[in-house]
Amino acid sequence: MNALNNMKIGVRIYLIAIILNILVIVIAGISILKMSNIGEALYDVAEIDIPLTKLLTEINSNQLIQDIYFEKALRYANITVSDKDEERKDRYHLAKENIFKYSQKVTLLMNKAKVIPQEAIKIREIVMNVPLYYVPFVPHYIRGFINRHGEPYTVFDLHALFEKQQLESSTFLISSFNNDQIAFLTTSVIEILKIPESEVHLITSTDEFDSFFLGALNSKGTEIFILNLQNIIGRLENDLDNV
Amino acid sequence: MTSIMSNRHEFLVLSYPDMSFIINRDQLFASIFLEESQALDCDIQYLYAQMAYLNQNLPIFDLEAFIKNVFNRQNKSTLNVALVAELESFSPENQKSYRKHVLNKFKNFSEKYVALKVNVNAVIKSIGLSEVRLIPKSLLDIQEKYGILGCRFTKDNYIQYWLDFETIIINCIKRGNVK
Repeated sequence: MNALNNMKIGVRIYLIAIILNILVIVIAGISILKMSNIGEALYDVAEIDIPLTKLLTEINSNQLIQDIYFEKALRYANITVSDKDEERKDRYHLAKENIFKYSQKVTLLMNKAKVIPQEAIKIREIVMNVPLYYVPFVPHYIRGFINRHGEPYTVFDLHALFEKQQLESSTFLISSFNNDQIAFLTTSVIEILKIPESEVHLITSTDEFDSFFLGALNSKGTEIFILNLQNIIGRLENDLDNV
Repeated sequence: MTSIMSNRHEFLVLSYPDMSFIINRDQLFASIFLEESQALDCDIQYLYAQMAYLNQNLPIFDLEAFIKNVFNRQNKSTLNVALVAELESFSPENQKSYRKHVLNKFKNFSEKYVALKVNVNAVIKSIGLSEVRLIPKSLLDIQEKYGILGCRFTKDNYIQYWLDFETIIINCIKRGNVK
């Protein structure tokens, strides 16, 4: 306290300014950190929750319209039998057509909605040093099964698929894709990235090798390829037909 | 035999190094030590011998050779066990195939039974159906086609494949000529 009292006013002012600056930097740092967390949460909300909610609302309203046409069709069907009124007959057919139209629309929307959570839960966990179990009648890039909580997961060795040489590793990415239990053999996991779709360059080539990738993006000067799981599983289906 | 209350089922367990196999107990009629058998020269894969059982002549399919070829597992035991199955338990379509490809060729074979040879002492075990898992979706069809219905992971961290020997036998006789 004595040291503070002995300081000149100018020094005290400088000291206060330095302390305040440090506090501002700390607050700014915490804010940036929190904002980035909010950004990640916002990404989930914007890319997954909102589109899914929108689709569900649309499905709901279409089902309600379908319900109205169904009621109309029922009403016209009853009256048509007794009255034999051609105009009402036409209305009945129109209502019937609309029921089918909206039924197709609902099915399309439901299929679209199903894809969103599937995309969101592609990779479920990363596991290391678990035994690999032999599976017969499979191509060389299927290395076997691994056991996750009593469930078998088919292990894909993408190195064997792309380079024709099996990968020596015991790290697996566990995934659920289209209700299939699959795992990918990998050397290591460097980073988990969340990237807006706008930063992804789509691959449009029709080459078979390129078809295994959806697109590519650049992160910190490194080109990262995004796997097309649908086509990789499609390749397995083709190969299994020839086993 | 399935106990509905506990949802358990009896399986025949065949143990090999690092791997074992289970067969639905209901598919089998008997399990006997194979003491005498007559070698058979035949173009049906794995059909290698015949044996006498209950005054009938039973064809013997070599399940041991199938396991060796497909799973690369072999038991060094010299024990020979024949698992006897009733043809009646086969699906009508498979019974028809069996009649066409086997019984029409070998008139002396039993119309009631068929045998499978293994080199291990098969043990009957009651296993909870909830412990047996289906093969993952992408490999389900191919595995079923070759007679692998599912799998189970044992407490000692081994895999146990559920084999359907009816499919295995029918695949062999349909392929014919491959030896």
